[in-house]
Amino acid sequence: MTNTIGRAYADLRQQKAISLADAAGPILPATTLAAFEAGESPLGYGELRSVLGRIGARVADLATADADSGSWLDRWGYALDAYQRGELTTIPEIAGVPSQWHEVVVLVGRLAVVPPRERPALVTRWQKERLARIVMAPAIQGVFLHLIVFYTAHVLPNTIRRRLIQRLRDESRLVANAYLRIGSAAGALWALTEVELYLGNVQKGEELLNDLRRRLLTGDLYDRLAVRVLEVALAYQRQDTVTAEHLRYGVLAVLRLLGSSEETTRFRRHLDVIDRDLGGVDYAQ
Amino acid sequence: MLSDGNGLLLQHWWRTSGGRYAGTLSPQTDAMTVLHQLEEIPLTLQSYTIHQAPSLRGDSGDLLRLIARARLGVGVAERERLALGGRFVYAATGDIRGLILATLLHPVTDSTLQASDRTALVTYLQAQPRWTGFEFVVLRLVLGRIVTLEDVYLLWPQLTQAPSVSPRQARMRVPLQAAALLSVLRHAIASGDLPRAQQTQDALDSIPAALLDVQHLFWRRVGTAALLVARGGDDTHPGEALFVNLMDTSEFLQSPGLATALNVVWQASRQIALRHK
Repeated sequence: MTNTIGRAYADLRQQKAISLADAAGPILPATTLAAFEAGESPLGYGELRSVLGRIGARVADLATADADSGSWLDRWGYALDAYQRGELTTIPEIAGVPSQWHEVVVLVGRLAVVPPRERPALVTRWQKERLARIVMAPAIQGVFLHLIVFYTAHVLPNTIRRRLIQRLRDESRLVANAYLRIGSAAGALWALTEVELYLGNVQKGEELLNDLRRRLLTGDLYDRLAVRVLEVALAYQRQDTVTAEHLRYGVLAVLRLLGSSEETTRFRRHLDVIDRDLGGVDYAQ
Repeated sequence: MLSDGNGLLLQHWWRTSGGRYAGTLSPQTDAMTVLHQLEEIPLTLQSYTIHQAPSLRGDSGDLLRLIARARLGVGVAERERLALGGRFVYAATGDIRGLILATLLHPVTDSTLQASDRTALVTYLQAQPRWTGFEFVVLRLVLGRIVTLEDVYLLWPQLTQAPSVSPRQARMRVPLQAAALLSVLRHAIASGDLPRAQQTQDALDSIPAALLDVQHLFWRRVGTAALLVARGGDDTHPGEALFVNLMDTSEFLQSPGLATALNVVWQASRQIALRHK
């Protein structure tokens, strides 16, 4: 994965009308700085601080730079999350995606806008094989891996899903920030659990659900709501529509009390899909 | 280069901590370890952290994670050593992260050093014109330990600064701002300081719900309920009713710890109301 924070640095440097050679100074070759700005290679933090100092800027200035700066991965995660919350009606093209990941980013974007059951039909056999290779590659980790798994879990083969579960169980539950929740290990495990429930593997699904519950901390209210959504799917698979309806009502009542229309949109959309796919009920109409 | 007051205090502290380190590592060695670790810390820049995460293997990305890991994963002696290293880094380089590391890992009991730490942290936070995220986290962590509720008045402009125009950056920064404000609110309620609590609640209420995380929305509602109950009179009934709803929510979310924490705030609010009768 390449470092595209370089774009933000380039913006700051150009705003201050400082040449590449002057910014690089004696610290590093201008070609290295150019590669960093182009997102082709990372800089160590010490070097980054030094070249920031050369243009009279601080690390914090990068964080408050233009919204288009920051890593493509961060902007991609934000766009996917904003789509779920109804803040975006389409998933925009993400600038700065490295060429080797462009296809998978476009594919995930296509899958993200359709319900899970429709996803397998949108993926070719070749794409499934490529996805499997990507998610199993040891070098592919963190937000990038989790986002791919979140949206492609329903098209991955059983063996790959099982191996992913083993791998993700040991990962940190850290969430970098609120809009990258779906890009966390917990988000990816949530999606893998949903697949088992969709496939009617109730025992496996319940086992994974218990695993998710065990990982919850007191304050993980978002994750606790997300677990309740999976319990709706489990209830439908057990033919227990009363419990499913009770849980659905509970999730939406909590969000109403908290006053978040965006989170209500996210959870209602997901509940509507589960209700339709597994319960045969169309609340959306 | 230990030229400032903190350097002298540090020397004093080093002398009083005596032979504890004799024959093992020196504080200078620890300082080098800390410096080396700090060099790897992107600090405020979350996107950089995210990018770097794969090459950093797991959670070794930033200062706060380093602190969390050190707090959980090592014994008291190791924490003290890291803290002393942090103090040396701060005294020698002025890098505030060294002091933050030290104060959070091993708060001192010496009142002169405590006062010096408090001044240094408040001065640092006050000097940052626009808080990008890290400062909110630092305030939350040191509030009540080193920095007092009174100090928060000095930091109010930064603490309540409006979010960035970029929705993405606002959603990155505002939850951290909300968490810091909620921490101030909790301290204000716990100390019965209703005007400060109300001022903080007003600041929280001015943040659009869309920018807040679910847990911050929950605790913001708790703040509303707590202030209604604490004010008493006609506000008591709606406050109590809101607490009941929030308690139902914690039950639905299957979080006994949340219910316990909620109950603490509920009882504290009732106590304030009784005192103000």
